[in-house]
Amino acid sequence: MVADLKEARQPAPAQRGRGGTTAWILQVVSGVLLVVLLGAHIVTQHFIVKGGLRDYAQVVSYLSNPVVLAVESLFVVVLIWHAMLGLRAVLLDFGFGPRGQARITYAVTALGAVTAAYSFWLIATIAAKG
Amino acid sequence: MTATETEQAQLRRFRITRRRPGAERSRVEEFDVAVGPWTTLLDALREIRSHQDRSLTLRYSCCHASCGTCGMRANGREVLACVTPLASLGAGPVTVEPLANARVEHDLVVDMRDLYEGLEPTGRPLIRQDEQLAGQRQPGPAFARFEDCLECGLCVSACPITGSDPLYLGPAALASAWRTVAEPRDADPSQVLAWVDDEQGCWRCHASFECTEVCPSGVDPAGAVMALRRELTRRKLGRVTMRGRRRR
Amino acid sequence: MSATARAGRPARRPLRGAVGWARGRHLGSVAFLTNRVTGLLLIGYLYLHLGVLYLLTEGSGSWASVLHLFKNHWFLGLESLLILFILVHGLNGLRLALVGTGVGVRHQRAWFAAAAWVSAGLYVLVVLAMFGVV
Repeated sequence: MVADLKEARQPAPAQRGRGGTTAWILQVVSGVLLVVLLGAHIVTQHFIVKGGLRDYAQVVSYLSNPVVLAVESLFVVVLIWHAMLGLRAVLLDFGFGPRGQARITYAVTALGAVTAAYSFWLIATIAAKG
Repeated sequence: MTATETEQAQLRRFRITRRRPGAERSRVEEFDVAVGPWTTLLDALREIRSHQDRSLTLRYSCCHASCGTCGMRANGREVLACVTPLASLGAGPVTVEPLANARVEHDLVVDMRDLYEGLEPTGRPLIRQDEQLAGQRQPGPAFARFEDCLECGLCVSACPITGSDPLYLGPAALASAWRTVAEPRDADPSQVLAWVDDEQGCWRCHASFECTEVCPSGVDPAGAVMALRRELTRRKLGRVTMRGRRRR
Repeated sequence: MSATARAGRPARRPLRGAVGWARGRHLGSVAFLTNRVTGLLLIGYLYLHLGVLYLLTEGSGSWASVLHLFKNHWFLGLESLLILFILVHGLNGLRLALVGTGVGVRHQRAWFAAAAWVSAGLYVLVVLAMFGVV
């Protein structure tokens, strides 16, 4: 029995959450951007050039366009970000505590950074051949 | 059963997952029960307990979907046994299992403490009669359904994430949290919002909607989780854009 | 964390392991499963793709040899499947972007049906375009 029913019925959560709104907003924004960017990427890589896929010379020529370079670079960043956030979401479903979550976030960030670095190196190397 | 029902009675097979208290593994036992056209799952289980195996352990109380005690899985689906007609369970043998995502204590009885304790932090939506008389706002129809939660645990059993994540708050607690936010009744909702704003809180949900599908009481826990997410997103974007100065 | 977990006691419930989440039977669960499977497959494809693109840094000879493989009809068929996965993941993803932020939750099943039909329609167009019929 409690002396004051009003006190008993107040919400009293044990502690604050550590947030998650930002990660969701980033996932939504990157996903929506990808509908456009990935759509554009598929169309330009598969359905523009005669024969569909580009040969070596066509790839180099394609990347020589600065607009293309900018859009493909943006595409790479947004894609990797969305993929890493998604991977993190799958892993977090297995109930890691605060330290485990921090490690997972760090690991996907590192993986994303390495992947992005490699991707930019690829783009730069191929573009330079032109 | 009436004379007519006796004529129409058929034998129905039940495959019940059983476990003794403290046992490592469960076993499946088969029982055949004469059932009529109106027999419910609970009727059949009580028949087994009364006339075939006294040790079959299960919980039930009101027999009309009001207390939330007889939750279990029939043919893999979460149901309240008292209002589940056998006619709705197809024609073949009926598989009966305890609720998932809760520790099995004995046969079809599971440990409900995680569920009950999970609901505590959101406060108890009780209204004293003298407060009602003093002109306090009564719950309108839009909110009454949140108080329809029977605390039966069907949603927790059906939730895919509760099965893999021991830290997830779960649909029942989150639905209750939304009730506090949507209709605070002079309680402070911001504490509850802060509590659910966690990767193991409302952000862990993956919108499978299983909880809402199985809820026998129309609580719509999935809708509640999404409403919490909407509110948190709105507040965060409001802070970022500095436009959210209106008090909700 | 669950209330009991935060109170210092671990949650008492048994876990269903790595595939317990795949149990659900309703439309929402089908959508969840599909998005998860396609998402993980697409991550796998991403790394495969990045690996293959390395050949472009080795000059036209290396690229030409794989290009010949990629233009093979069987390969195109596989690629069309990849595009189907992207369509399904993306369109259901748009549904999640809305529903998961509390917008249009009541219509979540209709959104999924729309996503499925649009994916199917676009997939047909993609296959036709790929095999040079369009």
